[in-house]
Amino acid sequence: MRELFWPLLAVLSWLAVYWLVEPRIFIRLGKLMGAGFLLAFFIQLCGVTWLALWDFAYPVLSIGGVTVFLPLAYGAEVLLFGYFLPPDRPSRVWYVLTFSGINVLVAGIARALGYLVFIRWDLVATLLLGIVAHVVLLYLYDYLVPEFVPRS
Amino acid sequence: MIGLVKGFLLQAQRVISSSYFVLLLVIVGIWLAFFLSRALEEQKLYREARVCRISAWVYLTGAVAAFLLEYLVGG
Repeated sequence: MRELFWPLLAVLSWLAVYWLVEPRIFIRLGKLMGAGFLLAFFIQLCGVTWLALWDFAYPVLSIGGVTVFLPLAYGAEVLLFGYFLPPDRPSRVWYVLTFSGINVLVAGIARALGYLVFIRWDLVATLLLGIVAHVVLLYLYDYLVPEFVPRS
Repeated sequence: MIGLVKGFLLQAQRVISSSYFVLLLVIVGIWLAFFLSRALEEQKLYREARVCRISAWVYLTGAVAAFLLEYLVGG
């Protein structure tokens, strides 16, 4: 049953999308979600396979040592990131920090439960990587979703 | 080059034949059915949304039953 942790994380993330995101806006944020999935997969490939910084204890349905369910969960997180993104720049700083903090929280729980193994990595590095990834996502948002999507 | 393509195809074959790939397809299918029902409701197509939601619940019940049979009875 322990190998079901990553599928469960993906299911919980997508349940959050189901309850929080309007279908009309989901379609408009589809490209951002795809970009988030690919970005997460690339980061995990670099960290796990090429640089050997961290590893998965139960990499179910893995491609290159990376479980597909983690980028899937991250795709949902990126969708929520795009959906609740505030329009003004000062708020976006706190917004990026909050989402990076959530990333650290999930990584910390996964590590404490033994699902994630840090080899040459720690939670501070996770926070920094999260900030960089979410700043990249901000630029991708402006590029892929040029008009701000208002929530009703 | 041929070796690289062959390696990629072998990895793709390993992923697709995995039981977790079936799990992934089931999760995606159920989620899409529920989400589609919400989208139909948003378009005020209430009857179609209800049919879609019933189908999703049938699909979800079947998937949970299959999972329980596999893990509890099948060992």
